[in-house]
Amino acid sequence: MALDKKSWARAEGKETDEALQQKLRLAIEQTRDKELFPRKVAEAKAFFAHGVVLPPTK
Amino acid sequence: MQNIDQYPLVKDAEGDSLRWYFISQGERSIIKVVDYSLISSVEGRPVYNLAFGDIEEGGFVNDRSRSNNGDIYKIFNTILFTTTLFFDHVPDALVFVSGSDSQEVSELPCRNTCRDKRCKSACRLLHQRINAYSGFVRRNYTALATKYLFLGWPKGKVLDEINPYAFEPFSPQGDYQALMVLQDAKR
Repeated sequence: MALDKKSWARAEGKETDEALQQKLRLAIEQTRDKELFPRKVAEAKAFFAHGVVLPPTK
Repeated sequence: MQNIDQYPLVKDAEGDSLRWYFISQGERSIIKVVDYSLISSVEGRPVYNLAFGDIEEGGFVNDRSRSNNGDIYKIFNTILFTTTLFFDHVPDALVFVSGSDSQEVSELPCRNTCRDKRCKSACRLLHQRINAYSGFVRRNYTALATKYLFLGWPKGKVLDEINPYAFEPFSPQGDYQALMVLQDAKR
């Protein structure tokens, strides 16, 4: 299911449930094979690489 | 937590990530994604980074947008509810939460052109997101603490401390640069 730029804008303008659900399905498809937050994940990994210490949690 | 108003969610899983999508329906309709990515392990427990952003045209994800869509509390409730769902999948996980605007000030895209007089001593945009997350936890702490443990990484930690990356139990009076959430095993 491909939605070109024009169709995306049209769906955004319509704001009907059907159009929004179509946008949602497309968004899931378009992001499925991607790492969505590479910068944030890299920063978090670097943070934990320093050796995070936790207080007792039990 | 069932009585809290939130948006319907759609789950998707990808590799080491679990994701939930929803549509923010305030002044505009905006597709949002909440992503839990495996980043590390601490004391034998998996650590997942919680990230959140708007999905824009072409599948581009923007984690720095300020959509001002008039539904911020409903969005927070929705994100928090994904945490409940996430712990159903990975009960022993630690969830790490930090703001996308908590990095070095010099890296903020607005810094080079900033003429805001309020930014003289400290950039007013720095830490806005983690402050909002912490504020939400603080306001709902009594209810949340019945189910979850919250830890905080205080602002102002310096590298010459003995344990600069040490978290402490969350205090509603605390000021934090990052949070960690885990299920309370005693509950």
